Amino acid sequence: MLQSLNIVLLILLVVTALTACLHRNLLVAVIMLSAFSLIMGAMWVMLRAPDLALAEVVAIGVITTTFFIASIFRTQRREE
Amino acid sequence: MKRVLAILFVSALAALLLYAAALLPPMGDADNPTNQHIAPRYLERGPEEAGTHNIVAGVLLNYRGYDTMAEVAVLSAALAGVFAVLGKGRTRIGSTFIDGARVEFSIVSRIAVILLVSFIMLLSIQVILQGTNLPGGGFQGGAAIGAGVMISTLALGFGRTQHRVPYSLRAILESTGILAFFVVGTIGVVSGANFLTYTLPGINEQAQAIARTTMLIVVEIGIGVMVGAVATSVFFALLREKEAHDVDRAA
Amino acid sequence: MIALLDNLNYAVAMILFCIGFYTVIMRSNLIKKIVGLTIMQVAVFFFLVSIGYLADGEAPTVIPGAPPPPMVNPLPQAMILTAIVISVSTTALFLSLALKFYEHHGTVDMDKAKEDKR
Repeated sequence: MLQSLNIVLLILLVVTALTACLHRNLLVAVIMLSAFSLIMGAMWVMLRAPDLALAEVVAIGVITTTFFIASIFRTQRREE
Repeated sequence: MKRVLAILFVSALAALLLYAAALLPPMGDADNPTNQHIAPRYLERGPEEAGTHNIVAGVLLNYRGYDTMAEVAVLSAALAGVFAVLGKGRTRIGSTFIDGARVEFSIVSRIAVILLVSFIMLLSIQVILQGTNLPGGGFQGGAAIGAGVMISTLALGFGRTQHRVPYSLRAILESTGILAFFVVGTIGVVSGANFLTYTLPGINEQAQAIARTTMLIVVEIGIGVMVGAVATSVFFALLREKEAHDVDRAA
Repeated sequence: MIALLDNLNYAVAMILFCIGFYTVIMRSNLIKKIVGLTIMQVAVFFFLVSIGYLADGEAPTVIPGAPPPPMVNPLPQAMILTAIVISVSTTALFLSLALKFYEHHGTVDMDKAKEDKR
């Protein structure tokens, strides 16, 4: 059961990372980065690292995402 | 042409890395070289030598204390870099809402955010103070404090939040991280042992355990408030210079 | 190939690293490059902590009163905690430089800035 949960999380990781890197709308990319950090937080719990789960979700999922949103607010929204 | 070359190069890199991943010993095996030499010693003697129940916090603050001090220094350097590029800007500007709107959010969202941020601050204080015995620690709690301030900025507006966390307060808090490490480390030197051993001079053995726990908590609190202040300052610096057409609301 | 099924975590970490790497080298938008850099960093953290995993191990926190169960390796976890802090710092600095680039050139796209300079 845990092995299949591991595989599902890994597939979700790759899917969110691909969407974050290939989408042209920068806001979508940044929100996908936040989802990526949340899935990675679940992965850290699977690897028995609760400190890292807390640190990852709050550092990359909240703080880096909010920095990105502030930067997109001041520059441009789309990639071209 | 450039895209074809890039795809070929990345595919070659991926093939090489996957081949190396197949050669590594199986994950989670008890005979792996990584589980052999130093990890059993940290796991067995961690709680008595480092004085914490959370062994990761013990490794961070005691066994690898210099790395944590350098991490705090890197945070300070990054903050100095952001201020050098974007400007410190002590002036207060009007309330900017992050989608450029000029109308405030409704009172329902404002009260909901105020309640939520209160609980976030309480939780982050708990995470900082229990960092030596439960999962958590200085960085996690400090980043949660910064996240709480950012959430209240998004909903209540820039001017109102900047009034609550002014630059004078943030400047004091940003210095406490590296100062906490330096002061606690120097106390260790004064008491006769090495730098950053958590001992007080001139007290007996039973009280040393209490002194060590207190100094660990002092260092955690220092790291926590520093990370919160740094995250807040960088967010304000990234957001600040949207000028000239904002509605000015006094706090 | 069969040996990869045991090390699936390592394989996905390397695939994520290559995805991030492709984004950094091929996209000309600075914000997209920073997103790719963050994904590369998270992939490296994932790989390093997966190495320290012990099958049926518990989280490295000692509960007083009970005999400690076999625990995973705490050393990579401590190092990656420091690395996450450094990742936030470098992202903040990189974003401030991107903002300065936007003020100077009017666009965050490196190719467009190079065209407009002529």
